[in-house]
Amino acid sequence: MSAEQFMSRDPVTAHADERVRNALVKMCDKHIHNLPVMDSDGKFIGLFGLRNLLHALLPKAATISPALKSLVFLADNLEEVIESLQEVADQPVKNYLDRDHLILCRTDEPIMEVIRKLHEAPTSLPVVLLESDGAHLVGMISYWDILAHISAQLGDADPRLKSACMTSDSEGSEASE
Amino acid sequence: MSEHSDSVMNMIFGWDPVWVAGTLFVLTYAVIMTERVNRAIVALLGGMLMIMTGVLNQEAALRGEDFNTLGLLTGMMVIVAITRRSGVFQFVAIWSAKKVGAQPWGILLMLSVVTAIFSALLDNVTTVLLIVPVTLLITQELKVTPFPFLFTEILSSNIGGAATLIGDPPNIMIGSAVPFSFNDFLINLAPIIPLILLMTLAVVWVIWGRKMHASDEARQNIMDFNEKNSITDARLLKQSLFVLATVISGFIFAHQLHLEPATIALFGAALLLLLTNIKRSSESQAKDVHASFAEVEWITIFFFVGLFILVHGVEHVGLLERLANAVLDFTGGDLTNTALMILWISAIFSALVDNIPFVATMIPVIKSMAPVFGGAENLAPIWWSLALGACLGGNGSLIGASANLIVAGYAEQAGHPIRFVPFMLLAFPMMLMSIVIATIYIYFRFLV
Repeated sequence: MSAEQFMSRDPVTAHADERVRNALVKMCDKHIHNLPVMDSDGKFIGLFGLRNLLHALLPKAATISPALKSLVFLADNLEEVIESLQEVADQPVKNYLDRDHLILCRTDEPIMEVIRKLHEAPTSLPVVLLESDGAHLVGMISYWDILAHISAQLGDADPRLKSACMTSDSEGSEASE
Repeated sequence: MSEHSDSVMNMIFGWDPVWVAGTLFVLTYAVIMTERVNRAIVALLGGMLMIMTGVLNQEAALRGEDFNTLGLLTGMMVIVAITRRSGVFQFVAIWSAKKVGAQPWGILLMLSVVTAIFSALLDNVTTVLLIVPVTLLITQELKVTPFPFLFTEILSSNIGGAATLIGDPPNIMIGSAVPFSFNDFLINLAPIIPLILLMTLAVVWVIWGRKMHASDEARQNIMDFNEKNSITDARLLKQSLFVLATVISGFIFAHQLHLEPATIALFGAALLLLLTNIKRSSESQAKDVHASFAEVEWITIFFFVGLFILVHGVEHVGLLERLANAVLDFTGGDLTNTALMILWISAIFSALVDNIPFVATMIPVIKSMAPVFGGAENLAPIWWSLALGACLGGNGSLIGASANLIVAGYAEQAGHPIRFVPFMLLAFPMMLMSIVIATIYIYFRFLV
């Protein structure tokens, strides 16, 4: 059983130049944590997720240095956070892609490797076809996709778990209904 | 050190050791300067080739290693790695920013002085690693451009580092080789440092300081910082400050205690590791000790290890003595000329290339000048010239000192890159100004 069989197909995506505001609207609407981001040629260039948003809300200094591990000394200032959010919302999503922590999955990877990668990744896994001209997105795998797929095979051994998991959200996919 | 015991035994292919050693030395330094390969790799490779070609045997190479430099650096790095977890450096930076009412010029002044003092007592790289992130946070809150702050912190770290034996690697090496004590540096170098810092800050005021402004609202954000909250571990704070105080007192009384700085620093590191680990499980101890050792800048340490062998190789074949004679021919064997020439050459060199290999090479060169000036005790003005030139010269360009590059790296990541040429256009003349002050100081203090 390979990645291709339990990924969600046709995920909601964002364009590289799309404003963060617009991307957030899509994410909130569909209750998804991560949007695959595509360039003008339709190539996959990275993920924009809620974690990236949090990263963007932090003061720059806190994101680059281990010396500033704690910000507990800052005043409790909600206006500042709101101000940052508004600044970020007007920027294109391509400014906030985290390429360092991006983990990709190929369509033919076995389930245990997919589980290992999901455990390692802070986000959902984009499933791609790597070709000479770049990465083509074919689907997304979230924690939920894995759980739904495994529980679907449970049969009648655990009907409650099976029906609960199979109806849960499938991140990054419009086809979750 | 008996040079005879280092005698060349098995030169491969019967090559002339002078040529082999000289070629290896020049090639290694050239590759280091290109910065294409990590400097630790190059120095270690060059050092080992010095042994494998037969210029030195392993025993002789080991005699070139300066344990005092290696031990002092490693010990202090471990102590600082543990101390910074307590949050004390953030505390001091925020406290000082609030003391001046969060006025931008006041903050720049305070952070520069804090940087200079920390750099005098810790190494420069560590100091800027601690100060720069807080500076970026503060300037972001104040909505002012961080460049003048970072620029001044670079200069302050190299100026402050020149003040003490432990402040900057050139001083560590000079102190160990001569040998000079911690107090020798305090008495002979530290007095001129405040003036150099003051003049530097005066220039910064003229360029930026007088025009600096931040809104009341932005300043209030800083005033609302609660610096006490940054102390994350009060117990660790007490333990670290206790050990730091012990180590610095140890340096001051090293002569009476008949101890070398490396012993004191490594003892301090071991003591702090003991205090912070004693009640833990063995598994947790192993983790903590490993993490503390991992924060030692091994690139710098192994760079030194390779470099000491290289320098010992060229020294051993007599090349450095020839270089010394050439310098003396040029200066006519006059102490004043020689000292001031060393000061200026060190400054220019250190601005353009790494000052560590330069100083490592100059130490044996200067040592071999002792007979001309009537004994090693008369060389003091030359040593102080080398120290001031090499430490202050690091301010001349962005690549002049490791601390400069660390600051530039952070600035780049924070979206405010510091460019090579604009930095140099301002920093190089200011470095020359500091060397003019140093020239006057050395002349009137040691040469008339």
